[in-house]
Amino acid sequence: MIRTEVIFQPIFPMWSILVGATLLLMFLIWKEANRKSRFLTNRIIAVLLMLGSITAWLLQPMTITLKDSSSIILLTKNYDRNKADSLIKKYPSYTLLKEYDAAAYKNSIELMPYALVDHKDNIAFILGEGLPYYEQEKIASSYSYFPSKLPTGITQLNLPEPVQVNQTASISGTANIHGKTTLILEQPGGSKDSVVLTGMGIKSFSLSSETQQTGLFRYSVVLRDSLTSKVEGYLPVEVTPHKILNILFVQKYPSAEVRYLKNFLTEKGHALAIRSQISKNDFHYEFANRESIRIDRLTSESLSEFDLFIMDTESLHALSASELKSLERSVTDGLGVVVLINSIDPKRNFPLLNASFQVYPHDTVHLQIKNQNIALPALPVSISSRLSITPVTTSTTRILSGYRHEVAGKIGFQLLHETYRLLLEGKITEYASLWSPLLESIARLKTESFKIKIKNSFPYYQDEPLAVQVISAGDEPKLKTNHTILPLQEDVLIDDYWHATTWAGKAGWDSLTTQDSSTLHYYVSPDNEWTTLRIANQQRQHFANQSNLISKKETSLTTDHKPISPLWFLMIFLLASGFLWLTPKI
Amino acid sequence: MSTQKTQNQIQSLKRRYLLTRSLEITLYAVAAFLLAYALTGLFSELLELKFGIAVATGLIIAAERLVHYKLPFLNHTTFIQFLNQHYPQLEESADLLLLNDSTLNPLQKLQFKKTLNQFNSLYPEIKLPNSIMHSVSVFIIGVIFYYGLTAFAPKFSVTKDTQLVSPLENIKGNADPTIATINKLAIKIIPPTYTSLKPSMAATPNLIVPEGSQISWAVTFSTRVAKANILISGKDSLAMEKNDSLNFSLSVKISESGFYQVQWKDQNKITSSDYYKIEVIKDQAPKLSIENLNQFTQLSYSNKLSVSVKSTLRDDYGLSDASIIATVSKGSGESVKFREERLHFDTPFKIFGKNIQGEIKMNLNKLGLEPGDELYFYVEAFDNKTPVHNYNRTETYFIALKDTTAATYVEDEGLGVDLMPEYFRSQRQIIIDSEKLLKDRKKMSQQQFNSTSNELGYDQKILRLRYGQFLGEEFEDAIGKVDVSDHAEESTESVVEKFGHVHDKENEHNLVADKKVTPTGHDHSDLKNPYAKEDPLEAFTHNHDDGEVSTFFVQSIRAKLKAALTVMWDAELHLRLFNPKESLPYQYTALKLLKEISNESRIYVHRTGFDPPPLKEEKRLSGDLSEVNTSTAKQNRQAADKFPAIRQTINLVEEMISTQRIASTSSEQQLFQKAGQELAQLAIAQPGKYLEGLSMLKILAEGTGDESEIKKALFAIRKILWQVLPQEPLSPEKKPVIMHKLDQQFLLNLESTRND
Repeated sequence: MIRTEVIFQPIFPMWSILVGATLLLMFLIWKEANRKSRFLTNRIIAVLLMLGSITAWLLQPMTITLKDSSSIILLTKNYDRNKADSLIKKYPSYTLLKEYDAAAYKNSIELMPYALVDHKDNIAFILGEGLPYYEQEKIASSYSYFPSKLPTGITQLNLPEPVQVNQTASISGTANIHGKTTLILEQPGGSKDSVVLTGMGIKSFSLSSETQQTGLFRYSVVLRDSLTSKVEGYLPVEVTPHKILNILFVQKYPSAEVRYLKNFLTEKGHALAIRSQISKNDFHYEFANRESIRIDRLTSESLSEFDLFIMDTESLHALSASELKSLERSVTDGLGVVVLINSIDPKRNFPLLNASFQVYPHDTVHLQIKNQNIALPALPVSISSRLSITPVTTSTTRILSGYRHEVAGKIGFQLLHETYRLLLEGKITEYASLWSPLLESIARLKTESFKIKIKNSFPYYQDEPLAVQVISAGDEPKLKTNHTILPLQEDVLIDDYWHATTWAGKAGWDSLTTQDSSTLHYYVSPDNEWTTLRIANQQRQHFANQSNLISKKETSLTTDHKPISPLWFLMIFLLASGFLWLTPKI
Repeated sequence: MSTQKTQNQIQSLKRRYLLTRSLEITLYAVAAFLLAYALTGLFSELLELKFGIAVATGLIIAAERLVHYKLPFLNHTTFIQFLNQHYPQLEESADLLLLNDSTLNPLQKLQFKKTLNQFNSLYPEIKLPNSIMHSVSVFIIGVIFYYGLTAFAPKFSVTKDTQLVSPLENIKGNADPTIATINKLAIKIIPPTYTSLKPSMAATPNLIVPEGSQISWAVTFSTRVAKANILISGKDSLAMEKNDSLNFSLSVKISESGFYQVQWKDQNKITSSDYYKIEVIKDQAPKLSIENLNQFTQLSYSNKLSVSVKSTLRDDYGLSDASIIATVSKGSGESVKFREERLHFDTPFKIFGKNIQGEIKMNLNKLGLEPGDELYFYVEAFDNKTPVHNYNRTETYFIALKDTTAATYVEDEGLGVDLMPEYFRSQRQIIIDSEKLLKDRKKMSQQQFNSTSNELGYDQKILRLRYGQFLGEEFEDAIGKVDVSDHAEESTESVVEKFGHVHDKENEHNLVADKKVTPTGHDHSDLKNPYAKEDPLEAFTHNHDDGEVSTFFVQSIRAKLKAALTVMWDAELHLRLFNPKESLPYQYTALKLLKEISNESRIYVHRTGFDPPPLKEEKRLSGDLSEVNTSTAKQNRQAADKFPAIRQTINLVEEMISTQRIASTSSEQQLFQKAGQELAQLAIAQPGKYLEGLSMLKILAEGTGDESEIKKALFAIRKILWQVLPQEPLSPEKKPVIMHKLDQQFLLNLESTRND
């Protein structure tokens, strides 16, 4: 049942308007009565109308539609009219609300943007593109969602994490296409990667680009089909400067393999300490890009300085019990160890790695690195372990290098030999892609005090709330954005897990910083970018939040406020005053 | 009162007329405006021009109409005249209506009244002349034309044609009027004389010149300038010669690509122009080809021994010399002799010009070519470049004169098999043939079968004899001479034997040895008798080597070979008996044994090499290490970044673009300048690729240029600088991680569960 009431929102206090209007009315009626002219009654009516319209304009009347309803059907932009028809046919008593940008529907009431909270318990169906996530969070009822058709474009996007310079920034996702489409990843310097998608519907893709320069950059993704070529939007890519590693080498005898690896790492700026045994009691120490340090004995203290410890099999076997103990302790604290396996003695226990080796028939492997076929010698064994080994380099049949976790640290191995041949052949890129992933994945991680995350899915638009999460390693975080401190709230259940909300500013790069200068750079997209992705995100969130059970039965009163257009008053005023002006002339 | 009313009516009539006419004129004018606008739109995109012409046309039409309708001259009198003319009922007295009652004489009054009545009765019917319908239709036509024409108007591109802009406008330097600018820059290019190109004046400061050209710059400055230089990439700055206070000039010979810049000093301020490229067109080496010959030609002596060689020679500026270098080779093997001759083309006699069709007839006899000899030749040419000519030559062509007298030995491997099948067949072949014979038995006649089987038996015999040689079976007949030896044997045989019962000699070996002592021939049985005494006469008698001992093989092989020969005997026996089926098992055994023998009798070359003396165990690992000490080495070697300023500039440009900032601080301008210096290094090698970048960096470094120019420069420079950055190989990095209390707990628990 629908009831409509009128309420006022007067510009001035209502009594003053009414008193003023009454006085003016009396004066004007007196004036009219004294005028010697025809149509006295009509004139008095005109005066009444005229003053009434002025008064009404000052009082700002508003209609309120009150509606008893059990549930609400909410129409959002691009809803499917047929589905709406069917729903209304099935649930005739439901109230029909529509968003301001949705197409009109018979008997639908426009939902003011601020009024969604009033209906949060009653929404039973949502049709169309849906609501942004922050609006969705307001809905308390369980509802069913009927999505609109997705436009073409990128529907899901996994943004690249901040990458260090010279590493590869990769994006992946899905795109909704209508026929053969080319996706192009463009760097500021030009196109970097592209992929051709064929067929119809949602297709997944991945694109990557090697980074060359540190900084905050905007790459763009261009979607090109047979007819159009449109820029989906700018893709924020943060390239951080490269962080050096502290590496310790220990070898039983000097080898070319270690020598070339040392040169390679030194040129990249890493800090190296090398101990090579040259006779029973004599050692050769080398220090590159760092101060010298005592490394004649391995202790937990000396090892704590290093992020990565590389040694050969012989050195590992030669470690004393106490040294092995220190090494194990350091590994549990986060140190990474790489054993360059030169030989396997099946009779001896292989310490640290906790793995067994089987004889393998081939001592040469053929690898495909960066589209180059490379043959390298490798120890003819295959590794198997009770504990799971994460492979880094593999041939078709065995793991050539890999690592396993040991509490906070990692223990890795390398079966490949004579990789320095690649350097001698000038294949530095291939050499780098053989060693860098291995060393990087095993090296000690840089512990940070805070990690800032934005919970919303990309893209973020201006004036939208951003849900910020801060994970702390113990300290209480202080979060700042543009010199403004954001109030943080600690999670009720999880310690050191903090929440905050901020609102995205103008389109472009922005940042959030904690007191230890951990910074999260994020990019606010202009409204016209990533439109398909935004709709797809909304739809995904709706699907995640919806429930197909309609359990709402309680009735409630829905109100809809609608101001009466002042145009009406103006017209009445004009007509009435026009009549008063005309009467003497008739 | 009535007079007044009439006057009002006339007034209102007049107003109506004016209104109607104005409307008409407006419609005509608008139609003309639209038409003109659309028509000019076909030829020009300039809004001002289109609008101006259209407005002018509209105004002209409006004015014409105004004059035509005499609207400016329309007053009461003309209007009254119009009424008088068109409405005779008013009796030419309408003008009375406008006069004041009091001023009228009685007659006029009389007439006035009459006219007034007439006018009052006429008033509602008065129709003023108009052509409103006509004007509306003209207007509609105008609108239609407008839409029609604008639809076909060409779409002019927004970008301006840069070709139209004079290059000299770019060399303004500074906008400050007190500072000197280049008023005139004349560049004269004098190509080297040998190119026979005419000297020219450059149309743009970006120069494309032939190699070795003399370039003369003549600069006229707006005001007095103290010094002017030209900076050419890869060279020092060259000071320009001062002709007078305003004019400077410089002449340089250019033979490498690069870029240049004009720099001048005025009031102690150094101003420099934009960068301009100098692209040098290298003088190409001549291009030669021989069309009418294959690279290898063979002639027989009976052929006409003259070869015509046609060659096309081309060069970009002209050829100066060309010849054919012919080499005659005589003899073969070690006694080969060469003789080289330089020949000149028959036509043209003198080599000159850019494109030449050279032709020569080579008489091989004259060149001294004899059968079996070969002639190698190629064409070489020099162009007219000075001081060093460019040189090029063709591939070498061969002409051989066939020597028909020389016999050639052709070894044809395939032939032997067919020609001499009976001579030698392997054991495997015999097996195959036997099996085939058995298979085809039903198809052939008995006689044929028997004959084939016998032939196979013969083959088996040949094979046996062959292997028998290895065993030293000297007495056996030579291979292939079996028949002859049979006859020889026959001839030596006694008559009794000949006509008596004779055993098949072939099979003799298989028979049980005769116990009887043979009365004739050598007695070998003594050797096998261990009890026999040594014959003292042995040394003096004719005695063959023992067939058992004198073989090429060691004992075990000999035994095997012997066994093989024995089974061969059996195989042959059964073949001769026309029973190949029974022969086959023997053949297989023979093959198996032969295989084993061949495997065992392989000869291996003994490995030779350095045999080290045995090590003394006690000396191992006991070297003198007194001078080997613990040592420490330190190095700080980090690869230096090649383009530090370019890298910083990239970030700055990115920031300026994303924040839409245009103004740059002085430190930023210095950064742009440094980046320009780094880019200039690259631009020397590839001016075409990076010169634009240099100009853009100059705009940014000087902070001159308007908003659109700077924006354009920012986008262009961003793209160029990104292309400069090298792709470095991957380096391992330290990755950040956050250790939340829960993570620590998780790892510790993981460890404890593992230990459990």
